[in-house]
Amino acid sequence: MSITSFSFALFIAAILLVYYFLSPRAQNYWLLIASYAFCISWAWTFALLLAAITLVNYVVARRLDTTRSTRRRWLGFGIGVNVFTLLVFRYAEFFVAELVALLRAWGITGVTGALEILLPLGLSFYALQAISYLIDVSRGQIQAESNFVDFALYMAYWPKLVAGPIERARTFLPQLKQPRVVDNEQLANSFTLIVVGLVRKIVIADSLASLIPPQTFQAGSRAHGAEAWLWLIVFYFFLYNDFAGYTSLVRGVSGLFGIALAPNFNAPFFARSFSEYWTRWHMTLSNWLRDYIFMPLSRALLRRNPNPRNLLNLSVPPIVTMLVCGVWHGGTANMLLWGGMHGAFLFAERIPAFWRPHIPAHKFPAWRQALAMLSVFGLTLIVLVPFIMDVPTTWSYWQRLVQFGGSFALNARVLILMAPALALDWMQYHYQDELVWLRLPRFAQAGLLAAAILVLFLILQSDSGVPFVYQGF
Amino acid sequence: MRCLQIRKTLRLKIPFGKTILLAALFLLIAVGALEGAARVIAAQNSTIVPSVGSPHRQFEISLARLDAFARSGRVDCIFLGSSVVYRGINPDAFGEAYAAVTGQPLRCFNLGIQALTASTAGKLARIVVQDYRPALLIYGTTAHDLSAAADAGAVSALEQTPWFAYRSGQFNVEGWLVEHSYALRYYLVQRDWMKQSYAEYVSDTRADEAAILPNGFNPRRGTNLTSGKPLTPHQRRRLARLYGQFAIGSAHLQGLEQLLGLNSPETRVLLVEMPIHPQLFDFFPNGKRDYDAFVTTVERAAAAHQVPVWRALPADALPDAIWYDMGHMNAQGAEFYSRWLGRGLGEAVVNRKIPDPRRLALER
Repeated sequence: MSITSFSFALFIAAILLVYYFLSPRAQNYWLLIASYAFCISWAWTFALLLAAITLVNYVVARRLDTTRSTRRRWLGFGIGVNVFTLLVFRYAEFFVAELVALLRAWGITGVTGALEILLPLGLSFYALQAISYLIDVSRGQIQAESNFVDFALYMAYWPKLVAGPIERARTFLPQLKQPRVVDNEQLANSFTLIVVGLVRKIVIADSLASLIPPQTFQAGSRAHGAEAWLWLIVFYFFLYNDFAGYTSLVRGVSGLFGIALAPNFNAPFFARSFSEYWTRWHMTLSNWLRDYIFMPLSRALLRRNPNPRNLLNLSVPPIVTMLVCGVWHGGTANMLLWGGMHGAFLFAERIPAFWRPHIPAHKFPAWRQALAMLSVFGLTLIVLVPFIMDVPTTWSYWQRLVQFGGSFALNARVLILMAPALALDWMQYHYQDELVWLRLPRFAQAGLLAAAILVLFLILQSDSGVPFVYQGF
Repeated sequence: MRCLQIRKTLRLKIPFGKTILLAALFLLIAVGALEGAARVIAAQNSTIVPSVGSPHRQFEISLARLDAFARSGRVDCIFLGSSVVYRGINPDAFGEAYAAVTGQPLRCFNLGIQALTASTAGKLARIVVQDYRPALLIYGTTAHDLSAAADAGAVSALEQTPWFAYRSGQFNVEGWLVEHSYALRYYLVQRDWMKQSYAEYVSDTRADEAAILPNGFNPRRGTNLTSGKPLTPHQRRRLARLYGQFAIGSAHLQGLEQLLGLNSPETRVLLVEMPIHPQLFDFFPNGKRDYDAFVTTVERAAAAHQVPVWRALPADALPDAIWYDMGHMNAQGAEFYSRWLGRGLGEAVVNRKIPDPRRLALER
């Protein structure tokens, strides 16, 4: 069930209708049933795995809370189970291909179908949630959840199941303990997020995706110079609006149930440094990486050598963190290259710390801030190439980016679609409020809403819909 | 202030949703203005061919041509069929030959749709008869139309479109909107404006618009066969797939029955076998015997509905110059075959074997 489908809208309506009439406790049961029904609508095996992971983490967390002496062992076991499951399913594709080749070499055929493993829905996201929960419990930052239904709902809550946001137990679980209220303000906020999400996904992202020529990012493509840059920028805008649209949509839907989900994006194209970029792009993942990889690693290195200007202390945490990010995104050579380069940028940004204290970006003059924005956008754009292509194709694409010559006409349709995308971000950035639309006069709000509905209807007449990119992670 | 409260969760102060109501009002005004503008354009400029949201542009252009044809006078007869009809029936030549025998002119339209199968033809015939009430509906058929392996492609997608479903009796809001809104029909022409393939689509559309005559016929000049070119591997594969294990598809037979069921005193249905290239028999596993089995099936179905079947001239009696390729006739062939058909039909009317379509039209 795709979350931009009509059947999904009906699903939400049906669940809401019952939800509002239930007591807070019963609401949790109801949401859990709905979450598993949603999961089963993709595949019942996905639900089975989710239930198994949930049960293991619930038991391990309870152990962590009660047994001090074996805490480390239980934590290791819990993290191990999550990481192992993630790796098995994430990398099954490679292992299975190798195994099938080996079996064929031995003359054993006809087993391919039996070995096919599909990456379970949302596993990459709920596995990280489970790990963060176990670590927080072991650190004593939160108590292990005693109510199994609440914990199961934390893991399976359907609006965030497909592709996050990666929620923390410390913010999510308390919401399940108290009565949820959906008042006029909450309803307005939710509808705004839903409309913005639909516009980003259907109007901007899907339309931009259908503009990119099919072979552009494949080996053998002849796009070069300005054309290669243009399609790369278009892909960047597509990727961003696809994921930001998805997040906005599910946060809006969740708001209708009175449950707040964390934001994932905050105008990332306006970032003035790489560290700022990662506080604006896929925020729940980067916060997770910061809290559970970067910070522990930094602390460990500082314990070894307390000098903050030490080369290892400055270089290892960002590079390792971003390599882990690359592993999470697929672990292929190109993803490691992507993560490694982002790590290198983050490290490069810390180099001035050798001779001067850190100066926050907003203290620079406006022209330097603008230049910094352009630099960050440009460099993250170049690094996007390995995010899309394998290493040999990446190398060839990078070469083609600097091969200018030949004629290329700028596609006006690209500008028509990128303008509203930038406008949405600029409003959010300028007013520091993603719900800035609600501050406009009622006439303007209604006009924008009418325009959004009309454009959505018209765009939906074309069959250019593409699945959410991060749905595959 | 009044409040709508459901248990403790939903607490809405009343009135709520003012912005949504205002947006609905704006939407209504905008849609009304767009619809008005579209209707003015439609009245003043008939060169833009609207769309019903189907992926089959030729079908849409032909449908628009039929609409214009009906506006400019009565529609005595409509030819329905696949590309074999689209390329192979010249309605003007047919009408002239008919008039030469009966002394009565006959105004006909060619609604040949590329790749149309009998299954879709049955549904389409119902819409066409309902909208244009022709005195004569002539279905030009070939073995392709009933082949279980017929590649429906865009035609089966055509059946899936909301408008087609709506017109076939399955109510849906989108289909209703397309049927009643000029603005939407005009927008649908441009609906893929953001797709990479849009430029190609526009040029194909323009070529089709220029080529399809006001009577729906799209003639092809010359031939692809006499130049000694053998069939391309793709063509050979396609023909082998269509006829290599020839069997009549049940959905197609059902469609044919549906079409034959439209035979009534108001609209006479006539089944016409379209000519077949002699070499095409080689693709059937049992040659001409398989083809004859197809004809027998069609004749049996037609007889059940008292629909006359007009057999084509034997393959070996057809001159070589009439073929564009192995499946389709060229302009010369269309002229030749349409005149032969018009004469034959005229004689049948004169001899009272078939009711006079002109009289039927006038009686209505």
